[in-house]
Amino acid sequence: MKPLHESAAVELPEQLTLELPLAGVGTRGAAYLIDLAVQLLLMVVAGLAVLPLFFGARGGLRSALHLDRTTGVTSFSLVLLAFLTLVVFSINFGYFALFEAFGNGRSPGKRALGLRVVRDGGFPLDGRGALVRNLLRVVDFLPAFYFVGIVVLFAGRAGKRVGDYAAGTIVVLEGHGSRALGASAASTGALGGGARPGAPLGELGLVRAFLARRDDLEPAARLRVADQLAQRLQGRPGSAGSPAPGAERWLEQWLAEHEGPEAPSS
Amino acid sequence: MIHPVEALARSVTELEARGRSARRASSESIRHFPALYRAVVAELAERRAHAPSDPALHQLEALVLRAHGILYRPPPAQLGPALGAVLRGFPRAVRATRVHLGLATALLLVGALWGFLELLRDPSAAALLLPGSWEQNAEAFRGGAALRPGHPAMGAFYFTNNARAALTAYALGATFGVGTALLLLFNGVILGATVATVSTAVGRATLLSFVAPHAGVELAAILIAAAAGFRMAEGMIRPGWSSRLRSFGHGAREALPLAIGSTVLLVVAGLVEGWISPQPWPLPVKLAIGGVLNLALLGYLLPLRRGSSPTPGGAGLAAAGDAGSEGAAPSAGPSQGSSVSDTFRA
Repeated sequence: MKPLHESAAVELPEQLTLELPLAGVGTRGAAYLIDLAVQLLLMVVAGLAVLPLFFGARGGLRSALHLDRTTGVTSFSLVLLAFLTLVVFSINFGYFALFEAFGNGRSPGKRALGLRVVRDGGFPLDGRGALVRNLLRVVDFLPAFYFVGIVVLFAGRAGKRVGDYAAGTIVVLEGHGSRALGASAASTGALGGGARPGAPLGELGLVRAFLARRDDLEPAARLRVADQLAQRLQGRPGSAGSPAPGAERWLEQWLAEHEGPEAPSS
Repeated sequence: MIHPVEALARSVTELEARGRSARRASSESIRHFPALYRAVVAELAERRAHAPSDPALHQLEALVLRAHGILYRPPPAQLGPALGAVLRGFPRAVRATRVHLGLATALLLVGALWGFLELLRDPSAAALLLPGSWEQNAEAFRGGAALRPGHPAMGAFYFTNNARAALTAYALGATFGVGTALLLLFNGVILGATVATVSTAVGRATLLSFVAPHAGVELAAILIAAAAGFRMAEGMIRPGWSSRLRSFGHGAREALPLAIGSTVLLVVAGLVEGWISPQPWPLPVKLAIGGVLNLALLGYLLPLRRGSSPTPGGAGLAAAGDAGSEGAAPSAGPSQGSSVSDTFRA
């Protein structure tokens, strides 16, 4: 079966490989739209903040908007316009880079959709990477609406746009499993209440897997598997007759006993 | 005793919540973090081997990933120190890229010459060669009243225009340098055409008077940014022993300080162009200002003492002025700075 998400391998120095689910074009596009809206909002806010000052300026808005290098405008309006120009420039070129550099790879849009930019190999994004990948948006945007970026993203295997190749970054989906891993006692118990002596790891996993997935099974198969598991754990020989209905309850108890003090909540 | 997994989960949650101020997190959780991490990774490996289909493995993997992210977090980004480091390393980076810088200069010159000659041949070509706003600019000059007191705020407009062009020139390096080259040619044509139009309208002296103070710094900055683009392109074109993609990324990262430093130079150029260049001062004064600025730039970019250990500390642009005046630019003959202002005497 094809996995739901493409993923990138993270190789730990400890000789272990983990999978990071990569974000797809759709999610990234949606995050971009959110970021675009935030950018526009920031610009509008800056404009509105300055607008009343224009009317106070000598000559008013009319003269401020008629920039003419021969006549010159009132210097106050000029300063305001200059301010707005700088604001727009900074947002255009700095928004993504700053948010990603200081937000550990997350712009507001990415935060909202559970995306994060990390360096190849799963390392956290650094400032230089944030700048490179976002300055290269100019290229990804060509000729319009990130056409180049999307083509490159589909063409490559790693789900990267040009800026990602340049900066050595990937965009990953967070919150698959990691969200379930809050600091709650229940989940840490489920994780950490590792095997007590005497409970073989393989069978613990087997029982956990069965209990987690039992709702997906056909009723008959569910009964049969529960019974087989219970038989195996109790060390009694398989009976030819119809399976006893109490096996599931027994398995739950067995798991609770062997998992440590804090049983999983589900 | 708390199980390592649980302890690690607690530490991760604490450190993530503290985010960038993790340095001040409780020493307890930091001190034990690496050991906990290793213990949990070991447990993950063992459980993977024994129960690969255990659904709880996913949670353990997620925890390890989060801890991995904290353990390998780069030192927090700080704008000030980072910019200082860029400016200290900038001169060396510029010198290391002189081949790319030469290519950029040549392309700009070719474009400028073509635009200039084309307009001398046929002045009506201005309508074709110059974008609307530039033509208006030229018209404004033609309308007489060429120079007037400037205003520092005008610098914001010049800066944003130039910085946009410079950062784009860097980014277009990712098109194997083709985009950067085209951008240089186009801007060269506009430059040459403007020089031709304006100088026939108001005379060379007035044009020179407007252009002299800022042109050197401004053109040098644009050319350096374009050189950064070419440096990135070189990574794509000549990967050497590395893979092409990896080499491209390496070039892009290595060239970034050039683009950033160029943007800082453009702040200076913008202020001068907005404030000083339009002043109706005598031509020699304007030329002197331009000369001093260009020398200061050269003094900053060129090594003052050959073979001396790294760049003089504490550099930055504030110090660049001092360096220029005291060292008086070690008789640098035809270097980028002067060839840049030559463009205007063409």
